[in-house]
Amino acid sequence: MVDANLTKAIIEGCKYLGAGICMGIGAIGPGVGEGIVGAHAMDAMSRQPEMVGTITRSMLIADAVAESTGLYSLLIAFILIFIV
Amino acid sequence: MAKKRRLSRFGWFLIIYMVVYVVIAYFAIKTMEPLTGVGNRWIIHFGRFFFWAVNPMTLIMSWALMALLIFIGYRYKKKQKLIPDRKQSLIEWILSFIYHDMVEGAFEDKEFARKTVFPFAATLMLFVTFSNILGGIPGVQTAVEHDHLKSFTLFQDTWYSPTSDLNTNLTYALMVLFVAHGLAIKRKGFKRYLKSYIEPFIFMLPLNIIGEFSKVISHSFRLFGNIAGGGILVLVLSYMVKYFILPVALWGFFGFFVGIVQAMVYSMLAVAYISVQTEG
Amino acid sequence: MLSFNFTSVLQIMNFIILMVLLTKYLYKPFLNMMDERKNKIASDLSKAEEFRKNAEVYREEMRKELERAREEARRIIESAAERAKRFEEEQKNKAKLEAVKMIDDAKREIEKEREKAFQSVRSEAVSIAILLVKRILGEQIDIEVKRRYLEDVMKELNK
Repeated sequence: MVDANLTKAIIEGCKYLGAGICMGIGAIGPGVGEGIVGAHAMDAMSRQPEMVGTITRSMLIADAVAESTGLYSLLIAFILIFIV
Repeated sequence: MAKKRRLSRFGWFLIIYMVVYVVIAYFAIKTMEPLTGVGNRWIIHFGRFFFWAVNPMTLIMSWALMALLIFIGYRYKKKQKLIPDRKQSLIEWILSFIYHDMVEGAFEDKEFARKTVFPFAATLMLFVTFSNILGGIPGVQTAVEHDHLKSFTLFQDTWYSPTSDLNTNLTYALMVLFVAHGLAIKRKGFKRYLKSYIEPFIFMLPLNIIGEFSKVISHSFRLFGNIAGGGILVLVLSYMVKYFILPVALWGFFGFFVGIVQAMVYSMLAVAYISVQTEG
Repeated sequence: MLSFNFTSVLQIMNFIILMVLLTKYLYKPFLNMMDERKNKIASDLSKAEEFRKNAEVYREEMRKELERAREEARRIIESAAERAKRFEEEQKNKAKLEAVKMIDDAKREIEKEREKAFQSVRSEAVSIAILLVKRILGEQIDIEVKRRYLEDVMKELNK
């Protein structure tokens, strides 16, 4: 049989490794998405400076939606670290 | 024009709150223990099956919020005037933002938007906003070990917000789903409602069904991830810096800014789902 | 953390209670108040428009009235001025006539005085001449004849 301590150590390590990978890869998508949203919002603002308020609000909401996948991975990372 | 401004009762309350917070946090930091049980919830079981259990903190905070909102509404109705004072115009500004910017534009039938959708969306928005903001105010927190309450800790974390419990979010998302479909059946008739599932062609049926359920999942987990994940992040970071100034900024960001934006997103998506189902 | 349990049912009940109570206390009064305010603003605006129109009419009337009053005043002033002018003219004419008459009177008076003076001077001269002639010639010639003769001479001289 495998040593119980070794198993526990491997599980511990894999938890942190999984959390790190989860967070790292999961942050790519929201980053790209928010970048695109921000870029287009800037574009729209420079084209129509009088609409800045509306565009900013829409941009924040779009950011919040684009961020959600990143937050799922954050949640899973937390679950891996603290709960599992 | 030098106008002498007296502190209101709320101002005194805030000052006392802050002073008590600073004093208690000082002793709390002195006797700080290692961070354990992050993300565990206090659960009371009353049956063998996993469903027969409640999260007392969620219920307590929900009731407190409900009491607060109903109190505000009662005061509003009692003191309503044609020419509003400051508090009344703040309340009316928030409600007219919900009504005019979120609900009214999404529906052709203004009477339907006004009578049915507006109370639903506004209640969702108000409840979620206030409960998210609770996650930005330092308060009483429970320390938990294996689902059992170990102790109450004061001012080591923010108040427990009901939206950081999946029960609330998933339930409300499911409720939005059922309300949307129910209103769709009521307004369009059962035949046209069923026809909307095979809209472009018949092979889209499974995709449409999966789409409806994925809406629920993304709708609820977005809010849950933001509030619960943000809460844990803030807790861990504040523990790391020994509650040195940084938590204030984090509470402001995660509690107020992210909280209000996410509440807006949550209720806007709810309105959009209902509108897609009933208008399409 | 991801426990899904009986709390959800209670949360739905909470939501429904909250929705019902807030509809009663917050949303209905709010929407009614919005409607009331809208109606009030609309009615106030229409009332203001009405008042404005009325004011326009009144102003037009006022303007006409004022115009008329001004016309009247001008006419009155004109007639008064004319009358004044006429009166002045009259007075002037009258004064002129008076003056002319006065001058004529004065002239006549002077003429009369002069005539009288002449008369007296002439009679004086005649008497003196007679006296002289009497002295020189003595009492030889009849005084009456001489006087007639002298008077004739005087008349001759006067011409």
